[in-house]
Amino acid sequence: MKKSRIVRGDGGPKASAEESEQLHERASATPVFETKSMPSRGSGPVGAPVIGPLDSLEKWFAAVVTHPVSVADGLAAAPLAASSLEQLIKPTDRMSALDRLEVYHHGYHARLVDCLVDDYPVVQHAMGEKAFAALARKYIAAHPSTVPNLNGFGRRFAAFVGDGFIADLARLEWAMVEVIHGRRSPPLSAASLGLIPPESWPELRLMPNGTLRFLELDYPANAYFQAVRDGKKPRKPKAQRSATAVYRLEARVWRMDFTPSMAAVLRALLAGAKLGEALEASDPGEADVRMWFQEWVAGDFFREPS
Amino acid sequence: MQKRFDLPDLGFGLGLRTVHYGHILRETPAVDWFEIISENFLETEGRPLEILDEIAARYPIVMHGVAMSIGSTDPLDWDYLKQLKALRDRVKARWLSDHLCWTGVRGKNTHDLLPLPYTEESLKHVASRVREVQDFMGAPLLLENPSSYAEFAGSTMGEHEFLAALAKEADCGLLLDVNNVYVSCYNHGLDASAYLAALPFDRVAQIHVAGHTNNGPYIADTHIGPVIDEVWALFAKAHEAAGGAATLLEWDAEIPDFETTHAEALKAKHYASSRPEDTK
Repeated sequence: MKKSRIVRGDGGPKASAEESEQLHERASATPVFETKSMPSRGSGPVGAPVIGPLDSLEKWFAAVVTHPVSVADGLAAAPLAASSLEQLIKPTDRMSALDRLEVYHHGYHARLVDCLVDDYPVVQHAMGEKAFAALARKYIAAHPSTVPNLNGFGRRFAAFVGDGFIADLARLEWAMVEVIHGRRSPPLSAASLGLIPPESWPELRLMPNGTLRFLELDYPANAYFQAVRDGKKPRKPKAQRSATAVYRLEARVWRMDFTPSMAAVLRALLAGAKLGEALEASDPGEADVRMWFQEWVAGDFFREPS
Repeated sequence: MQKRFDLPDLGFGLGLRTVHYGHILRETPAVDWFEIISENFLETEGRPLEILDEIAARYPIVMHGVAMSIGSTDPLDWDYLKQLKALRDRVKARWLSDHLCWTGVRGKNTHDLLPLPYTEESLKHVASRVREVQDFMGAPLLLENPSSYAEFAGSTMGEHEFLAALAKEADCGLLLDVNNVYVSCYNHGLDASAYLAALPFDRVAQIHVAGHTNNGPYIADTHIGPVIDEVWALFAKAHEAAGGAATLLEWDAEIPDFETTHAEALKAKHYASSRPEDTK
């Protein structure tokens, strides 16, 4: 049976658009600590304060508070330049020196896990909060941030997950992040297409806009994504090839599923084929190539020729 | 030095947050000014900048950074500083600020505002870096007192003394976060009034207020919820001591609708020393 329908989530334009809260942001705030209070462990005897060179102090502090497991493990791994922790970090009457480092250790991991949750909310839904957090912690240890901002922090997550449904879902969600941050060039308009004489159309080469990502996946990730967005509780799907375009119109991100035949045409166009060549890839039985193409132009898939 | 480097008192502003974009673009509410977190608009060519351009066309913008890492012993990140400068020019930001802290070392960024030991060595190190940044930007940098959860036993001066010495040594401005003063003083058992008394208020060009979360043994600077009375009291003192300064509310988690957030920011007017326009 041939499928030639344009599948766009549940069909309603609003349902497949992502609202602006999808756009994650950073702040100078400290993440909320889940536990509302910490038991004070008291403080050991405090010797004379020690201060080494700033460079070694920072290196030590960073190694302890970013340790993948715990402050205690971090302290064991990073040699102290003092005979006790309290000679470096002042305890208070409410908190030991170790408790105080714990606040930074928690903050470091919570902030980066939150960043991945912002980027991969449906992966988190599919895995469950706990399993997602555990995977995120492994990712943070494997790919610590080395740049001033977090917009690209999650870009290696799908590859880190590897293959399978979760990886495909992560690819879809990362494409949505990329489309938000992609440059929107003036799009090819129906009006400027109208100026091209019909006999020249087969020779036309189209340039993709920075607000388009086209994914061909082993699992129907977008169908699952949409079901979650619709408040359903879908099962993890079995392997089945799927193709989805993720694109942005002004501020909104949209997703459009593709039939294999549609996918073949867009894949060829994005690889630089002329329109005439690309159309040869479509199933001749499908009469609505023209309709797809209009949808793609309306979705700003292509740039206005420069 | 001219008071506040002649930076204008922009009035009572609000931290720009994505959940409010729709409202701001639709309604163009009467807000004196917006502060952005600079990093949210770097390493992007897309929607964040498109929206910021629209907002910057309607409101004064100030840039607040979280990644300069001015206290780090890593070299200054010139790529980052170039991007910051380009963004400043693009949105015509009135000034730039960041925190008295470091965010990472040996090339690894923790994205946290980590505490510095307050020593002569740190002072010299930070002051020379602030001067380099200001020379590059061709404008004063405002440094903010951070909230901190740990103190180094080897510090030889208090944070307030360090800030005062740094501002003089580096000839920079200060962004005084009165919530952070409250939080850090609570966490370290210090006196907030004594902290404020030591600051050079002629260098305070901006004041931050925010909510926080009291966990018992320590307070976390979560920027959640309304500003507590004790912090408003510190604000009143600081605003008067500075002779007025651009004031801004930060609200970063469990952010309510725009009107509620803005109403909280405008409470500052009630605590602010009287200004000419208030008596009209």
